[in-house]
Amino acid sequence: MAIVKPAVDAVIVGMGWTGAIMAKELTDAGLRVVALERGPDRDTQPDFAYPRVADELEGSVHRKFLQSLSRETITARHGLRDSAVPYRQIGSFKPGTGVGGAGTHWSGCHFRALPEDLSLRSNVRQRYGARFIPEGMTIADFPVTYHELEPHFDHFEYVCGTSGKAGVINGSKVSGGNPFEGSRSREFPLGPTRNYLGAEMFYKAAREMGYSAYPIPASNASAPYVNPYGCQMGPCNFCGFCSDYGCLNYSKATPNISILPVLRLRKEFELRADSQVLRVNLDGARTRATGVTYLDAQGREIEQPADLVLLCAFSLYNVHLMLLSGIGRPYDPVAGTGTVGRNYSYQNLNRVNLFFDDSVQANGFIGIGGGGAVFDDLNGNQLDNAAAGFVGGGVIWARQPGAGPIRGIATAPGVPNWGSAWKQGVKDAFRHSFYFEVQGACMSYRTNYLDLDPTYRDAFGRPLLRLTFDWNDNEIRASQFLVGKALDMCKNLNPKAISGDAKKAGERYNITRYQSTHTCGGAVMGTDPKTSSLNRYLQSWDIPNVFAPGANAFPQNNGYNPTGMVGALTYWAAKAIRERYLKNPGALVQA
Amino acid sequence: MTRSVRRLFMALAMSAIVVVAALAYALWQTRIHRIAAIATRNDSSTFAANPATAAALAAGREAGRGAELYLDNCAACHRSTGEGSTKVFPEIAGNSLVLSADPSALIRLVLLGSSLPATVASPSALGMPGFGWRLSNTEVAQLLTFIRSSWGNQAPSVSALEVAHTRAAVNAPSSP
Repeated sequence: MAIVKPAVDAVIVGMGWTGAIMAKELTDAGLRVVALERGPDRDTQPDFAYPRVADELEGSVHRKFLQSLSRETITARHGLRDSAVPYRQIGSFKPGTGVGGAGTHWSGCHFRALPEDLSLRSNVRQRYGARFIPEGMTIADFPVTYHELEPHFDHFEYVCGTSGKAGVINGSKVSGGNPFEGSRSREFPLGPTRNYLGAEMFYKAAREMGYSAYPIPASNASAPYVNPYGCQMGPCNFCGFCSDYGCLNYSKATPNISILPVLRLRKEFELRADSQVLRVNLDGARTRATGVTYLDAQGREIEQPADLVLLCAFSLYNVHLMLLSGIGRPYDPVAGTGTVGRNYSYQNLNRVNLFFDDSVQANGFIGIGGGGAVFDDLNGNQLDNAAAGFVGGGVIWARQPGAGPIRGIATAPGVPNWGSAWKQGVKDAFRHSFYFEVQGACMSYRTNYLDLDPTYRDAFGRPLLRLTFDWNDNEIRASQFLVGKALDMCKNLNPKAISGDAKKAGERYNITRYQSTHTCGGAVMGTDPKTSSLNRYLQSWDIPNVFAPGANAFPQNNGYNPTGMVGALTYWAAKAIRERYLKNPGALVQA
Repeated sequence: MTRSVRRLFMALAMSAIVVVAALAYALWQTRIHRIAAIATRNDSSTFAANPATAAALAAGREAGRGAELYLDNCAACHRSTGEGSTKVFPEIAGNSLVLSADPSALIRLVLLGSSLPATVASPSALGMPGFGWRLSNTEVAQLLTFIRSSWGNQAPSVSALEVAHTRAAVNAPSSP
């Protein structure tokens, strides 16, 4: 028999960005909130204490801050007729665990979405006609506009102390920022972070091509900062331990330093770490959630009743919990029915390496996760998709997030992978090379989806989540086009050697190689309950006291990193809960 | 015990706790004042800002184990300028704790670390980690001697013996 805890107003599953935002907003509204986090509690002291945290072996090889795949993972396959096998080692993407979630070990790139990307399907149809969208591509409009989200993008940036330069404020262009961005209501909370040499060279090369490069919006503080909650950040020291690590310096915005200090003082808030949620419980009629069941640190099964259930796990596990709990109808790609698992998408990331002689001092040991330079001239409505031959755009950027011997050092083309020639190649490359990246959008397709695996189970006896995903011609063409543009631009810098990794025709998805942690979709927001799991307030169409904020709600992914959008959507949903749902609990949108 | 007797007993116990706490506070205050008095009396501890240390560290010219230890353990936050960062990382240059004639509080800080209390107005419990687990008594002495004589700080050197005494007194991790 499960131990039954006293009922609370809201239970939150997962204590990353979305969970922390929801906990803050709902305790502001006076609710009693319990947050259940599957991993341990973590804070700057002692978990990210200097110099212990700056340990490449522990962070980037043993994956101390990432999800342990020995307890819970996914299975993966390319197509409907393949058998899926478990993802047993971290490769293509890196879900986090512990308090702060992936929000502790992210890099810090903090973009807003472009207004036109939020109405992607309508926009493509209007620009090129419905037939431009290939058969099987299931892209959709977000059921929310940039204008509606602007206050929430803004607030999340101020919570994170994002460093950047506005390009458009209240409809007027401002020099130095992105001229193509949606209008902002004010400037960034902090000015841009300082450039490393590769970013300076990127600006030069971009200028020569006529591209409008601007500083990547970085939630890595460029100066001391106090956010609207009174939480203090320190300036980034460019130590190069952002991605894979917790920040030692109070510089990278994380749930841990940006929101949790406030929550930890609140009596309405209770955090239970090491609490693995197994399922959401529904009432007999399956119209309402009654709470959740979880295993505590001692392995005891506990039932936590709650009026409101917030699914705030990593995007994949939000979908998993919905499938396991019977929230919404599972998606069937053959019949084209159901919604949960539908429209999984990813990120089309490609890299260009530039190698110079020793007149260029790259200082690869200097690093900042979110800082650097980027341009949008091939993204959104700036790109002529008909001429380029694919749907969706992308950004090209210069970033130097930190390198080191254990994380791997790229060598110039022709250098062998072992022996003294390799050693010489590493020596030449480490101090005298940069990389630029192409981050492309990834569309959604009928056959890229999530469901429950028929064979494999996790440590708790539940079926694993199964990922069915492969690259489509559209993304391969986008990769080739955008990498080609990046290579053209790089030639102006006269590198000694250059290499690019554009996807080849027919290339399959390789889950063993790290690409991006931007897994999106699977429980998407929309206007039609037949094709979306959530309404425009991220509320389940089927069980109205369940909300599922996160990148799982994206109908497809654009060319930007998702965190800025995830934060804004979560504040948007929280506002609807506070102002409308709590007064009249029920469906916020009539199906 | 009747309820009233129990209540009286509780009241007495509470008053005793209050009295003990007040005495401890008074003693602590006396000690603080004594340390302050020593610091004021000792005119060898002074500060006059001097950019030489920062310039030498930035140029990689600063020699000595103390400077190396500073760069490897402290500079990530307090920076090579010793200036730290407003309201986040305290400055070392001209800091009264660093300059104090009696270095025991400074030694304790390096060995055990410290953190700010979280309050509603300032909820961030910013902390400095302890380094007792990784620095030997000699290294702590070299480090503190360096910071007490850099950026314009002029305070007496610190000995390994002083570090050993504080390490024992504050129950810091044993010397590596």
